[in-house]
Amino acid sequence: MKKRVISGIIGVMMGVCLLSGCSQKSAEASQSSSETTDEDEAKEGEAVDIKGILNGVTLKVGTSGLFGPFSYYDDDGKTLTGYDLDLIHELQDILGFEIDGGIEAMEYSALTTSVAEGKLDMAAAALCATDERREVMDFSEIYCDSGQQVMVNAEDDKGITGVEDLAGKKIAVEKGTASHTYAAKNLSDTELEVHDAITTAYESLEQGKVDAVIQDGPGCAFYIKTTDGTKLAMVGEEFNQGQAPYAIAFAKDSEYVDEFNAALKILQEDGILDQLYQKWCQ
Amino acid sequence: MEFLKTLLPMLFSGLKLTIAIAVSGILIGIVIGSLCGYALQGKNKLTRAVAEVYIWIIRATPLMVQALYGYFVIPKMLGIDLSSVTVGIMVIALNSGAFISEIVKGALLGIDIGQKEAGKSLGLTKLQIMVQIVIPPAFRSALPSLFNQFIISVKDTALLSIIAVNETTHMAQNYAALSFKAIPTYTVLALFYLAILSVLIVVQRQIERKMR
Repeated sequence: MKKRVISGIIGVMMGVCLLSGCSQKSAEASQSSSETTDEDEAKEGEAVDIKGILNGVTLKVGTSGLFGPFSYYDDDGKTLTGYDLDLIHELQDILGFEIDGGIEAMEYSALTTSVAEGKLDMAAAALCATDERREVMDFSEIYCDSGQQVMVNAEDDKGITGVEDLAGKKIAVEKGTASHTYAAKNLSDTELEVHDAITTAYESLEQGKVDAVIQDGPGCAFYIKTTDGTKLAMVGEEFNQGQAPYAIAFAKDSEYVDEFNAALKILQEDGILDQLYQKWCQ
Repeated sequence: MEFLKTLLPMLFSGLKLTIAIAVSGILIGIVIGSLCGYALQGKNKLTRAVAEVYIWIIRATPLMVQALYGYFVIPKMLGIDLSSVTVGIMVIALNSGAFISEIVKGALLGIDIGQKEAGKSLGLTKLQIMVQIVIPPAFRSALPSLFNQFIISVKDTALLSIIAVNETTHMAQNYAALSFKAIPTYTVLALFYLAILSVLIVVQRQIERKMR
């Protein structure tokens, strides 16, 4: 009984950590990324050598399948696709590792628990490298960093042209996201409606129940791109950059992080990451 | 304990809405439930069928799904706008109404037939028999169950979090999401409900004792 209670509490705690993952302080993340750039510079000479360095290595790889445009199921409901899937394949091309039994898709809490317990070697699922997660798993360099975006209902003009016009308006956000944190901290003069899922926030805006939605830029673009007959439109520039830095997660003390960072650096330098961003996130 | 300064006012503001929704919901629910409960034990086949279909639909769908449907689908079909609180009250009313129907039906059937016959032999009309002979004892016997349903309704409001109603649980979740203090927040939330509902349970005990 006691065990159950404890594991229940741990479950709740983990769930919240995960849900709120994206709203973590990015200061830490950017700090650690600047630390590791020094290492990277030292390793620049090795960059050429990492080609095929993981030939013959088999890794268990996971993703979420829940978060378009990064990791989601194609129209057939069976094929995993998205930015992260492309990224994994690009990394495979460079490093030469094999994927054990195909990429596994599982929801966020199961995914991060599996990485933390070493049941997966790595996971790419638009995971934010938060402080809590850094305690139980390792992360690569940040490969994608999105800002927040304001969305409005184009048929229901409330005169909102960007984040600066939100005073006195009714705004929907998804609980625990970077947008939620931003709005709670900076938009105290708005009426904030916090939704459990982004889908109900979008639907509320479609029906004019709220005046605007704030969400990660790629998420907004993806919703508009994939929703037939949507009335939603993005207005203004992305803001609050650096709050949702995505990185690949590895089991704690993984021996492969350096190789993956080197490969990510190559993808960055060759402009592949930019291409992926343009392909999926705009 | 510093966090309580922020969390407790949030919980109390949530509690106001929780109680407001539960009380209005149960009051409407008692009206619906009384009508349907009467229909269920009555002889009119049409009203009985209507009541049965209503109870069937409510009992066979989760409250959370009813909330989503009532908030997003029905207003769109009818071209009207309903606030999340309005939908919350409606959902709690329809839900408690369905269960109260059964309570009312049972209470009405529990009145000894001999009493009604006694009324008839005294020359009372059907309405007089209902109002003066059947309803008073039926209401007394149903009251503890009605109050129990109220306690259930108070707890059910937590599910309205799905349509962003700022009730107690929703407020706690918001706080946990922003502060990352999940364990203290949910512990305080649980104790908060425990305290509030304990009061209601004590009240229910008192009612039960008095009705006996």
